[in-house]
Amino acid sequence: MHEWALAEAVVSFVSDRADRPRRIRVLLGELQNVDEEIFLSALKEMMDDVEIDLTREECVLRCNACKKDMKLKDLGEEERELVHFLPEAVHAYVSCPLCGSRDFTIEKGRGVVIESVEGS
Amino acid sequence: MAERNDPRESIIDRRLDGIKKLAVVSAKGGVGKSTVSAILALLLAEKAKVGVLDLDAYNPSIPTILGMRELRVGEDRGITPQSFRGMQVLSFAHFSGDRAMPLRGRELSDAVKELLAVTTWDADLLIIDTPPGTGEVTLDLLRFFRDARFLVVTTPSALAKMALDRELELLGRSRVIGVLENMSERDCDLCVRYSKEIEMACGDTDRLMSLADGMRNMAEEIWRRL
Repeated sequence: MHEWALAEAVVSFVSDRADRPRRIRVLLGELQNVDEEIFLSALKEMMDDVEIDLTREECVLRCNACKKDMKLKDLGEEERELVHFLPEAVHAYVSCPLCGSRDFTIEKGRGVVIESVEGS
Repeated sequence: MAERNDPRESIIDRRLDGIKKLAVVSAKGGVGKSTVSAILALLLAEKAKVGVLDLDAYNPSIPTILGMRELRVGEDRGITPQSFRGMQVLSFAHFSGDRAMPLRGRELSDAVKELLAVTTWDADLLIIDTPPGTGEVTLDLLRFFRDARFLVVTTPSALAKMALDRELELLGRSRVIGVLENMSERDCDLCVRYSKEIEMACGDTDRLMSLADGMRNMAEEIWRRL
């Protein structure tokens, strides 16, 4: 249920920028694996009259050694849970499938990103 | 608004509103920051609700020093730190275990922001253990918490003195509540033995606590200054 904390951050961000928000667009990165239903219901409870667009963003990890992109490989259940809490924990469990390097960058699809806030 | 925005930064100061923050820092490694953090936490937990946040991603050692055998975090509208000996404890080790977590600068800052944004503390005082240096973690603490106070740990060595001067120059006098000179025991056999005993007690909470009794006055003084 730490989706609540993420939703609270979104609400805090939106209220800092618009007194009467009408519509927000939010990207959910694959890496953090946010439970969309819980996240959305938390947002709705705190901002019931705001239209919320959620889009999933695929995770891309880029190896800093061989410069190749890699998709998020299957993590074990326990590791997935830890990465869900802290996306950067992926650095403890993943290495480049091509060169074996542990030195990579999360290029896309990390966590919660706000694309736009519409309203006044 | 077309650009991609990070919502976490807007909630960090609210998340820790009303909680006193003490960051234990040093520009030089190996001066005893984590041991000092752990002992201070144990002592101050007798008079206040204490949270301990271990922000050393590369070598998180607070759980080891405190003797926490099994690491687990909870979830309740946020990450809830682990309860231990009346304190709340959260460390990067809760997520990386005993594996290396090699992070470059921006991602280290991202990891710090995540923990600050989603962790819910029930504490009067948060003691923050930091990695050595004046990099991302110190800069993020300075950026997010105008009310954070810094305890700078150093040793009598000339190299540590240079590092201390740099650290103080960065932090500014108003935010530093004290400089703790650690490992000053070279000329005193009794102190050398005491220091060795503390080192040996890491991981044994009861033993650490009994040895920490000698630091009670220091902890009281720090609490008074916060």
